[in-house]
Amino acid sequence: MDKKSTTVILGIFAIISIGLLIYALFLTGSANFSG
Amino acid sequence: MPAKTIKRINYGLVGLIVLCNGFLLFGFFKPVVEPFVKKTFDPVKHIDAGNPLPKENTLLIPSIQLETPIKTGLGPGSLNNAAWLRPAGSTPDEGGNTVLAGHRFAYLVKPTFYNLNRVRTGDVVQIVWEGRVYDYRVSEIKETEPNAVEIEDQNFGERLTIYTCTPLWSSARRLVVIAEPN
Repeated sequence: MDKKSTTVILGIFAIISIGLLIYALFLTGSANFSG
Repeated sequence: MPAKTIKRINYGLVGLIVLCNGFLLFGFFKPVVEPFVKKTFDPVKHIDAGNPLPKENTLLIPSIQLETPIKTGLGPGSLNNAAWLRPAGSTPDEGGNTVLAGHRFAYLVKPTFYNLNRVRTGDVVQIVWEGRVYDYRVSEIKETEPNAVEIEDQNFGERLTIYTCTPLWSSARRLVVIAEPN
């Protein structure tokens, strides 16, 4: 696998990770979610 | 783009992925591991006569290694990092239904009642209130709908009601632990 393909795959993982982080911080930060 | 730059970007992305997922995993497992660590290194024990009392109002449930300050306040901001003494409820010295609520899970603040589902009937609960210790014993554990406001009613006599969200990761229902004076 060349370096550019690796960058694309890592980029996708990074976007998913940031998305999960934002989801976790904002959603579980609300009293409605976490009770 | 030069190969060296792509390599640097790749390293940067790996670092970002490790940081994001590391934070998520740490927050996820911390409340699970915390009682075992606390039990080993700094166990929460019953407050007996002669022991120094915590300076602030505190809730203790030694069976789940829970020791948390009690916050009074009118808004749900009091839930953050503490058990919230619900304004509609009584206080231990007044002898009515003392109601405490807390978060089951949150990333940015302490998930105070994460392990409340591990409390069993007969467990000892203590409250330090205004420099005095009040002893209770768990008499009932139940689940209710989130709108079951009757758990905060004052017509039960002297008792302690503790509640949080259930099931974990959801606010669909409420887990209610009721304790009677010991």
